[in-house]
Amino acid sequence: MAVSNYGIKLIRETSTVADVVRIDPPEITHETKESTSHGSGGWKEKTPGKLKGIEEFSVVINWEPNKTDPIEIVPGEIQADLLSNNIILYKIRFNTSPLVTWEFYTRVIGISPEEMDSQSPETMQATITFSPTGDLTIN
Amino acid sequence: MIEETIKSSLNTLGYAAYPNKKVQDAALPCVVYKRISRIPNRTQNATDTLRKSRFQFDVLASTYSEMKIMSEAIITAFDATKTYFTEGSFLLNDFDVVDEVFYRHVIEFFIFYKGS
Repeated sequence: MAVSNYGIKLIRETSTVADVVRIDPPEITHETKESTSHGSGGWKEKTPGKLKGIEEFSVVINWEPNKTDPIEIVPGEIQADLLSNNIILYKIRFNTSPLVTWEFYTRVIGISPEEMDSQSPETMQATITFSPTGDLTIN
Repeated sequence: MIEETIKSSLNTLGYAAYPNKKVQDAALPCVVYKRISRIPNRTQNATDTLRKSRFQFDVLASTYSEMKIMSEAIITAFDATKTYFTEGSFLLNDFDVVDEVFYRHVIEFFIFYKGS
């Protein structure tokens, strides 16, 4: 049973981030350690490392450098998050029925305006990179 | 509507302009413009008001030189500028068309604008 991937939301604390075009959601990992021995019969063996993690991820937004409207929260609030290096609660809400939300704390570690090519003008956009820390809550 | 802006912009340049088809008794030279495509600027939350549309301008004239001069004037006015359209207009392509009635030159632009 498949569903459309349209309508995913990035939420900063309680406000939806406006103008999100693309989200590459974070990879959730649970590492393993190699435990191969001479008795492994010629095959690698692995055991749980007991360390889980939320990997860095990025979001592409329609970006207006001069936009300061606090309701839109882009880029003003996100830019402030990057400058402060504070850990902020962010959520990714998948547009399913019922809704599923991933909640985690993260830093903003990058704001990268995308290429602006006079040979092929397009919508001005920027890539925001997040570096989550701590645990993931799924609601 | 963007079509109104196109018409008034061509009028500002001194050219009569008609949407989609030439009025039967319209004097030459003139321009017939039509929309080729409109690409939505969609986000995960909504569709943004920024539009990117492709328009075709058919320059119709009674002489070859008149057609050429008029076509170059339109390209010079609309290519790579935000003078006439708020978010810019950009030449994509232009070419002659063999026509038994008019001297015809086709010009295609991408026009960026906000609204409908």
